[in-house]
Amino acid sequence: MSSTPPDLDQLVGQKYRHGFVTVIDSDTVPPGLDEDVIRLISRKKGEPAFLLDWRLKAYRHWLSMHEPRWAHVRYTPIDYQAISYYSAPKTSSDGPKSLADVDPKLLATYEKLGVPLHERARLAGVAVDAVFDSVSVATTFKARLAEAGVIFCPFSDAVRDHPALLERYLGSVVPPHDNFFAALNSAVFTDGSFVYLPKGVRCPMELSTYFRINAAKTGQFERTLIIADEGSHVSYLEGCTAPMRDENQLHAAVVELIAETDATIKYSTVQNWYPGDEHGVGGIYNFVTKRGECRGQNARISWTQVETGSAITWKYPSCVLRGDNSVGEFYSVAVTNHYQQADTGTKMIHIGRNTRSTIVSKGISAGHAQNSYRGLVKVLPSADGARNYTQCDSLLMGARCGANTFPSVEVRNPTATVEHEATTSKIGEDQLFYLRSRGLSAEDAVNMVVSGFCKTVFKELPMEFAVEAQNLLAVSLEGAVG
Amino acid sequence: MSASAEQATPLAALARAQDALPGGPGWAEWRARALERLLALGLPTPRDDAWKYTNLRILGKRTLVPALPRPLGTVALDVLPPVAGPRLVFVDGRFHPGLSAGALPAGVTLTPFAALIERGQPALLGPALTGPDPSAIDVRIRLLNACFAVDGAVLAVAPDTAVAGPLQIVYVATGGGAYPRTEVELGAGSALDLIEYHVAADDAEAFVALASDLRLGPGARLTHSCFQLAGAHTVLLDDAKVTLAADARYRHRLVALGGQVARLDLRVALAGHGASAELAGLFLADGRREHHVRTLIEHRAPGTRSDQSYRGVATDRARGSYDGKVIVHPGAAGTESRQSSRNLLLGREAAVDTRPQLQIETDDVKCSHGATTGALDEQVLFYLLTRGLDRDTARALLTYAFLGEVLGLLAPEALRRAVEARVLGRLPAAALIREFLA
Repeated sequence: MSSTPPDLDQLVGQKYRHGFVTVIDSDTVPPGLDEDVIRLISRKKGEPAFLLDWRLKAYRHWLSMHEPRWAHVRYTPIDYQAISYYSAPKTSSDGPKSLADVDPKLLATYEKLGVPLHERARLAGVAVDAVFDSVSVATTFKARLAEAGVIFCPFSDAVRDHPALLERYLGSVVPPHDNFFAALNSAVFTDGSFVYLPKGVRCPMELSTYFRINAAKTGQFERTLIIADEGSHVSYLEGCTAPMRDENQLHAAVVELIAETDATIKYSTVQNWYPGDEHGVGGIYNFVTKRGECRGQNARISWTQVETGSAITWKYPSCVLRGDNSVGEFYSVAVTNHYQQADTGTKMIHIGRNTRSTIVSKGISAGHAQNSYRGLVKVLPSADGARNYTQCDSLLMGARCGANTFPSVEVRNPTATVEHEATTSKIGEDQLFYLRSRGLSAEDAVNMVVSGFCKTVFKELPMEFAVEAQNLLAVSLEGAVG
Repeated sequence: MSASAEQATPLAALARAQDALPGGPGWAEWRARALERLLALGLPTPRDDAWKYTNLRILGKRTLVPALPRPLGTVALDVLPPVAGPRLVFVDGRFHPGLSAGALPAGVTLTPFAALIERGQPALLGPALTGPDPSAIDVRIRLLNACFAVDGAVLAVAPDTAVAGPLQIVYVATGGGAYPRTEVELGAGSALDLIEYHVAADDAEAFVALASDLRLGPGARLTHSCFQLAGAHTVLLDDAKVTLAADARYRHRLVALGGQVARLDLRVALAGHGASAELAGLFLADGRREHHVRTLIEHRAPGTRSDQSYRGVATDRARGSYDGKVIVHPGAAGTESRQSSRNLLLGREAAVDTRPQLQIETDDVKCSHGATTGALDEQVLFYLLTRGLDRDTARALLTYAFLGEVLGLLAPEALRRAVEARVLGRLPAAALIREFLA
């Protein structure tokens, strides 16, 4: 593939398909961060005193911390005082009571994204808690979930309606002082999702939230907390698209998962934030802390992610395997094109006996992009019989991109078995040649090789997501081969 | 990375210790510069990524002040294998003519490092220390060596000379700081077999920081074996830097059996087209020993190859680590690289850490790495038990077999046999296993 076929040239210039901005009257506080801003956020959300204290503690700790520099990414320093920390869509009353109350412009935005709340959601059997900027505006399927005893609501509703659960679980997996971005999030988070499954409940449907970034110059600080009590089961889907924007935007979310005895949480993500243009201008900084804890025996947490967007991704969905026989899984496809940079991976901390973890990571790098897998597998002395298998493969397209693998394996128990393997290679020219000789276009040939490369991860996604992910991959890599 | 209060005292002592070293003002200035840079970087802390797995507490307890020349007690060189060929012996970093033996083969010239110091020309080592380091690796061992090195071997092999038989360098530590320095320059098309030994009495509280600089000209071949038998209280930091021109070939073999904390930092730059490096090694850490292997291989030219294969065993309360990084620079098309680290964890409180890293900046590559850590395979063990072996013997036999792949690579045969015997001596039921192998 020494020269670029002409039909691919136009594809290289592929513009971000979801790039549009909905003009909505936002209730935005001026840029800047101090204790008063945090008090304002807390007051606006009508939060109990313990939460404000919690935020302020996190903020004070954040002030003493330094932004991490160890990731294999480069970006211009973030001015935390130039960000507006609160932005809420203005609505006629305190909040929409039903779809009819929802701002029609908002609904139109979802239409463009292909998320018609009232139709496709029902057809797909998916409850969508759509987050627009920082305040949830619509929630569906509440009744059906309530019948099963599942609590699925915006974070701010949970603050109001379930403070006891929140006080018990919030920050118990990702403490506010965990890292720089988690501390920032803990201080200023505005909304997110909350899920609680009571004992023995199997969630009757896939849960899904679409995060959007909309108002200019606002960072998003989402907070997700999912608690699966004993013997419960939930599959949660998170998908992201963001409008086109010239300025870099910070996104520092925190996701906490808690799986008690015999509980299962399956968390799937398709991340397609705006990656910046083909010259590396703009795009989202996605600095996310995701961690799950298997607290009881036989608990299971499974992370599946398809990362195609964001200018910079810094994200390590992790599992703390505390309960005996608990299981952690991480399946990831990360695609970087143009000037995107991704530093992503996982941590598996084996504490309980016979804990098992599986890591499958596929990185695809094209253009001038940098794609790094960074992982830690740690087996503590208590984890008798622990088992880990890790596979990370990287595919390179183009002589100017980079693919890196930075795994750490720390074993403190002689009965553990830990295996790690990784490969990095160029996309197979003979494979492409074969496919083209069978009449496939260059683009289809690349797509086919790439989807074969990613298959082990895609089959872990819920079906409707798998289709979306496959499409997204094709769009992300259009014109990458040349 | 600023030096903390307790570090400040020994560092001040180090500055004073420099005054006692030989050499003219040029050397004094050069050493002062190295110390200044070391102070600026600060001594390693557990937060430094490159020192995360190394026990810095033990390091902190060692005196770094260079040992003064003193009358030797008994130096037990009978532990060395009966390998024929010339032998250069350095005691506490100083050349010892009495223990050294054999004439240098034709085509090899030796300049004692001490002679360079007398001549007052530190230029030889200048650029490596002050120039920018693109790979951002830890240079502190090298700097420490530069602060105090007073002797060493500067070897040159003439072009197109295939040196017959191995050349041996023995580093003996008797206590205190030792800073030997080895420089080897291989001319185009030459070949050399170099064997290094580290020896120290078990009661010697020694700190050894060795810096080696090996440069291979076009088409040159170097086999570099390192047999580490340091004493139970020796801290050994071995920093080797290798540069390969086009089509040069470098082989490194590590056998780490001794020391209290022993660490190898091996950097290989494949700078010329078609250069290749083959690294293999084993460590057998028992008791409370620590063995660390850190490698950095830089593919800087097209068509370069590297292959790494390391086996580690940690028993009792021992610790081991393998931290290997392969960097494929832009333009190094057609690179092939393989990295394998396999480790056996045989003690309740033993620990092994591995970090096989790949950093790849071009697409025309084939790179892979694999790392495993675990116990002996229970099924295989069971099979041996059914054949009538007792558990200890079966475990010992499997452990020996685990290291077999690396042992088999050792040459010459006298070296391999000596290492095999040493490894067996560390395992229970050695006599029985010898019988099996006979």
